[in-house]
Order: sequence, then C-alpha cells, then structure tokens
Amino acid sequence: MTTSWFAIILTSIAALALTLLPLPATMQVHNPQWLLLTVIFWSLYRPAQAGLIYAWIAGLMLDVATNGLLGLNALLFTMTAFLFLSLRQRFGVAPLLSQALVIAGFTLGYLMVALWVEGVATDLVSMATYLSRAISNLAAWPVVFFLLSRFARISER
Amino acid sequence: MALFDSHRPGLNLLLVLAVISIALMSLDRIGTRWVSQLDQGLGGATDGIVKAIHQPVVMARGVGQWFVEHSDLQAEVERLHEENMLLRGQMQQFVALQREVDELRAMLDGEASTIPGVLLARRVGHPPSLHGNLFTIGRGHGDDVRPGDPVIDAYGVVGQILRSTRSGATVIQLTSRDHILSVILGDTGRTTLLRGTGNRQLIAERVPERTAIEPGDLLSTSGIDTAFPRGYPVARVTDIEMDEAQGFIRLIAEPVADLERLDHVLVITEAPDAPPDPSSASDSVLEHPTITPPTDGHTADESTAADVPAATGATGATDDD
Repeated sequence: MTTSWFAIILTSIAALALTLLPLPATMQVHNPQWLLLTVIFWSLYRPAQAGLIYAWIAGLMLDVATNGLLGLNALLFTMTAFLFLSLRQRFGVAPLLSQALVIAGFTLGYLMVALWVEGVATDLVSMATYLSRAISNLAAWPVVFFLLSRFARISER
Repeated sequence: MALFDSHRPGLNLLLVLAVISIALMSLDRIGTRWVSQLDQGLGGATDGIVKAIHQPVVMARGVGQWFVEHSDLQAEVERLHEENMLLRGQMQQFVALQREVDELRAMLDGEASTIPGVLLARRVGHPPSLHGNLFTIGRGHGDDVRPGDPVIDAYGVVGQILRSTRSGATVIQLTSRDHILSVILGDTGRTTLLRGTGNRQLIAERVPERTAIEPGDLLSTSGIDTAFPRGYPVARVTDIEMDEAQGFIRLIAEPVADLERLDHVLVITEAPDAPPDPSSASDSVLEHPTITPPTDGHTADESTAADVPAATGATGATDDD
C-alpha cells in the first residue's frame, strides 16, 4: 500500500518534470501530456489509491507549474479520471493499440474543452455569477420537492 | 490489478471537485489574495522542479569552466561582467533622468527623483508556454521580488515579474501577447500603448498620423502605467503602417533588450511610485527643505506620494526619526 503510494507520487513528479523540460518552441507543442497519461494509467492500475482527489491535485500542480489558469487542468484531470475509472473494466482489457486510439480520441475532446474554458475565462467572473444558479437550484430542490409532493398527494385524493 | 472490483467513483465527489475547480478559476481570474498565496506556495515546489531540471546545464557549465586553464581569471571576468551590467542598467534611466531633471530644476524647485534599486538575477529555467515568453529567475520573495516588478537587461526593458515564490520568480516578457506597457514615442512626448504579439514584434496601434516618428526612433517607458519607471528604453521602431482612411498609423517595433540571449537580468525591486527609502528621503529633505507636509499626523500613503513627492519625502523622514 505504502509502496504503491510511493510509486504513484514518484511517477507523477517525474511526469511533471518531463512536462516542464525546456524544449524548442516547435517541439514544445508536440510534447505529450505526460502527467495526464500518468493519471490515466494509475486510475486504471491502482483505482483504490489513485482516485479523483489524486487526479485533482495532479491537475492543480500542472496549473501552478505552467502558470496557467488555476483550476482548469484540475477540473479536466478530475473528469478524465472519472471517465477512465468508470470505463476501467472495459478499457483495461482492451489491446494496447486500441487503448492508445481511445486516449488520442479522448485527448481531442480534452483539448477542445480546455480551449473553450480558456476563451470563456476572460469573462469568467460573470460566468461564475451565471453558474451560481446551479447552487441556487441545489438549495431550491428540496423545497420544491417537498411542496410539490405535498400538492401531488393532495390532488390525488 | 484487481480487475473484477468495480472502483466506480462517486458522482458526488466529482461534482464537489468540479465546483471547487470552477470556484478556483473564477477567484484566480478576479485575483483573490489567498488564491495567489496558494499559487505561490505550490509554485515553490514546481519552481524547484524547474530548477532541478535545469541543473545539468548549470553543472555542465561548471565542469566546462573546470577545464579552462585560468578558471579564477574566468570567475573574475564574470564578476566584472555582472558589475558592469548592474551599472549599465542603472545608467539607462540616468541619462534620461539627467536631461529631465536639468529641465525641471530650472522651472520648479526640483523634483525628488531617485534611481530605483536593482537586483541582479540569473535565469534558471523555462516553464512551458505557447510562445516561450516566460522564464524563471533564481530570486524570489526572500530578495524582495514582488509580482509586477519591472525586469530589464543591459539594453532595455525585458518584462515584468508574473509570480514570485520563496526562492524564485516567473518573468513574463514584453513580447508576450498578454503584455502591454505605456511608452513615449521618441522625442515627440506623445504616449501610446505598446502591445506584445507573441513573436519578436511589438505593436502600437492608433497613433495619430501627424506624429513625427520614423523607423529607427526609440520608444521608452513613460511611467504613466506606474508599473515601469520613466525613461527606460523599450523598443526601436522598425516599420510604420499607414491607415489613411482612419487618420491613424500603426507602429511596428522590436525590443532593444537582447531577449535571445538572456542569461542575467536586473529586477527593479523598488516600486517607482512608492515612498522613497529613509536614507534617500533624508537626502532629498536636505536638498529641498522648502515644502513642508500639509498635515503632519497624516501617514504617507501611495496617493500622496504620487501627488507631492517632496512632501512625502519629508513625512517619511519624520516617521523614521
């Protein structure tokens, strides 16, 4: 248990170091997302230890290391880990080539979302106030449910 | 690999983490203090990684020097080189200041202008970025390097500190697309905003057509943005694009700083509009004792410093005495 934690943390730091490796600008854009691949691997291989929180922390470290928007990669890493943990039993037994193809396809979606969030981020403050409606819904749902179920019961009589 | 255990993650945890991430993004965009503290704290660890990666280069350089015949001579040369760079960096502003001070002294009773303190820093690494416009230096909080501090080299403005951690800092170059600064156009006295484009060019748009400027003219910092002190050389005009229908021209310029070969840079650690040091303040009081502060109990803050520099010099001195 402790050894697997050790391995997870060590490989994550190594992946982060690979990401931060100074490369010529033309090579930089082709550098694989080492940390993302590491997170995917550990969520397939050690799902009991490397869960969503691990993925979130790894994403946050990447954000900090690359001076990006804080929380962007954290969010996307968490969603990646969620997806691959859910697909684990199907994905884990697939041949290596089809695994790579799935990851390539998934990465396209990942990059699209990252691009979209970065575009929105210039106006993220108003976006956040807009999204606060989700929390209002969270709070309002029990009230609505209670009232409407009351009403439904009365009307059924 | 326990394939047959389903480790399906909880949706609740996902949603909680997603909400935390979105909140973090919004707070980061607003610029909340504790988010930047979190950034700085974790940044210390990642800067350590960047530094560690760069270590082989430093070691290789060290080994190379070992084999040089007169290695101590080499060290002496390097020391003198650093000293020379420090002096040249301080001189850049001095020339412009000198001219200005001569002019002003004649008209007013002198304006307290101090040469800001500079700090020599070595470039230690390159965090990945889209156009390679960021680099890290080996000086941080410990050396009083704060986000927003101007960075120059021996020739001109390099950029600004983007983030500083305990032992290092990230610098954004003025050629970055996210960087804008205010400059004076040559000798015309007009100011304009100079924007980075991501490559080597800088662009100033919407310059009035009648501005007497031509390729080769020097653009220097205006000091209006309060980020850069006045008078540092920034860029040289390389091209002027006419936009006759609009009555405006657009200037294309290239930075005068040697951005390709940055090994050492200078960080200007003293904010240009902050109240001056107690030592320099007492000097300026000795030179210009004529203006007394209007309210003695009032503490010197930034706004009064901007309005009445000589007066704040006097209050600063009384505070320290």
